[in-house]
Amino acid sequence: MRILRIGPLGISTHRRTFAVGLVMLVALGALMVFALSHGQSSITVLESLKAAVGIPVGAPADFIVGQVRAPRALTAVLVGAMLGLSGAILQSLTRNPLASPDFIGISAGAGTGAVLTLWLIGAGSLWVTAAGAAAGALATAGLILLLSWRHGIVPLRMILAGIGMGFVANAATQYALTRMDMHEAGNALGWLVGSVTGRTWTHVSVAAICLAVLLPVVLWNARSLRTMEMGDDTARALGIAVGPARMVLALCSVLLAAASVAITGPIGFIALVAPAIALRLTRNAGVTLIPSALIGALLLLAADQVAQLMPTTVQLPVGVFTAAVGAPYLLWLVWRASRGGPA
Amino acid sequence: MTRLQTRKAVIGYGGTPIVHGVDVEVPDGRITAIVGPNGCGKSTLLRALVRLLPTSQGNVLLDGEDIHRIPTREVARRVGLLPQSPIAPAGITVKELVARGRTPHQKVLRPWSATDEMAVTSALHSTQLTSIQDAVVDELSGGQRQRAWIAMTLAQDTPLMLLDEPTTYLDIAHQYDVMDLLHHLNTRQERTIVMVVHDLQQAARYAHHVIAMRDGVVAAAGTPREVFTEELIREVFALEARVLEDPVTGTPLVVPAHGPGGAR
Repeated sequence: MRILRIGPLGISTHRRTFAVGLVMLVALGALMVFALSHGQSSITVLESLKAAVGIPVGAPADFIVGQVRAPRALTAVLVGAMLGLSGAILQSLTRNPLASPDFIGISAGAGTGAVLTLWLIGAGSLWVTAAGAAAGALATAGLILLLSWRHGIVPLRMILAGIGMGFVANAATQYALTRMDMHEAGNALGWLVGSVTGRTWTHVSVAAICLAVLLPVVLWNARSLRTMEMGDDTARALGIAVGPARMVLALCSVLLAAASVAITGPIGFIALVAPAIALRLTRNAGVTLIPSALIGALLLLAADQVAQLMPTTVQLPVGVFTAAVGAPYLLWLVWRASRGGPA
Repeated sequence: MTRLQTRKAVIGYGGTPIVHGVDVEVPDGRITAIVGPNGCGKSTLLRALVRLLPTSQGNVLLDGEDIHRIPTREVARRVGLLPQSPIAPAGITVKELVARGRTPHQKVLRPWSATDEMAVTSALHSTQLTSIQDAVVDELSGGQRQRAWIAMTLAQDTPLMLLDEPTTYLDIAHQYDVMDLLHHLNTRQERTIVMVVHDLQQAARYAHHVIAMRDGVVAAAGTPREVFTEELIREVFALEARVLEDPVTGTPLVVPAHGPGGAR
């Protein structure tokens, strides 16, 4: 155990978890420097760091780094963290590594909500899109619960209901696309692929505000989340108000996924994979929220960098890339579950 | 004296009552066994005693106060429960599991304290798990695993400990191992213990107070000698039995009068 103290307050964490967190932070920092200083126009590392924090260094760097690369990289980091966190919460609540917002239809529902908002209200402020995405995600989550509720949440039913709801939500999205005017539909389609390209400081600030609001709520309930992994009875006997805690945590998970969809469009597999990697690396028994968030951030930033290096004529959207890499992992999970391993 | 009792408690799942208005008193500093046939409501009663189930009528009193008026965390500081099938998080070590028992004593942003550490060390010691505290719970034998769960409940440091069928799924040696441990905790640490058990011989040997239930009501309550009579066994379990004196402990020994050639 290691205890981090600030005055009378403190958080206990395992040494290994702490070390993994530090390594992740350093790796994230290094990757960030790479993301800021590499690209089609060559700008020195020092210049790009200055430009990223707003110190003027001259014409190309000020714009390319300050207005293109920095917001793009920061969006990737913040959205990746949201996805990692959202997936970690959902997997812990359902005690199932297959549960992630993109897999059980929550992200699809957020996509529908956002597209409907674009269609009915038009492309306005990002906050309006985000509200639409949140409404879509919450409605989908509510329907999934309604369909799978049998005296409590039955994880497998929930996942199947979620996959079904994902199809329904995607169908609704497609319908909305056919009714929109061509130009708007084209924009919506581009966004639905999932990408951090062309993201601005507005996107960064929306992501930062959502994370700043939701992360403390999640961490405040982290102990409840860990205790509920031992079963509802045990958690209640240990003094956890299981009903309210589960409600708050599920809401946070859905809202994090919705916010991520509003900002970058649906990006698959990060939420599924990041918590699993966090568990392997920290060897923690039970959910590890901060490492999951850090790994989510690292994965999305790295995926975007690799996607940019791909020798394709058009820049590969990061959502396509994560799907291509994530799908084999999902197949492996299913294969392992079908061989009688832990599902 | 009793800190935990029920008053005409009606308890059930979603409107269907399973326990119909029972008055139960848990004697302080004693071991109480709740026995009865399957579906008689003994686990339901136990769950209501620690607030896992609501009472639709009547109430459960903890220290004279309606248990539903006491905050969840406060209940967990006074009454501990070992449920029938708790889930150990994958890869958790014995010590980590036992440390989870400190949950009701902890607050967000208040770190692990010396009191927490002492409670865990002492729980590991009492359950003889100190030497394997770093072992992974999934890899332990059934008996060791059950001891680890009991240690977690011990670390919770509650004067009242409730256990739902603590010996089910264990082989006979480990069953008595667990019973001896509970006896030890009761005599050395003066913990009040309430356990739901199936084995009448264990109930008769280890419990000071027995509550026999049938069809959601208390059929009899008292010392093992008072409760384990041939009439009551017939009435409660619908079983013909002889009650002898246990040659080891002198407590009542219930011997079923069934079997090939059994004298009926």
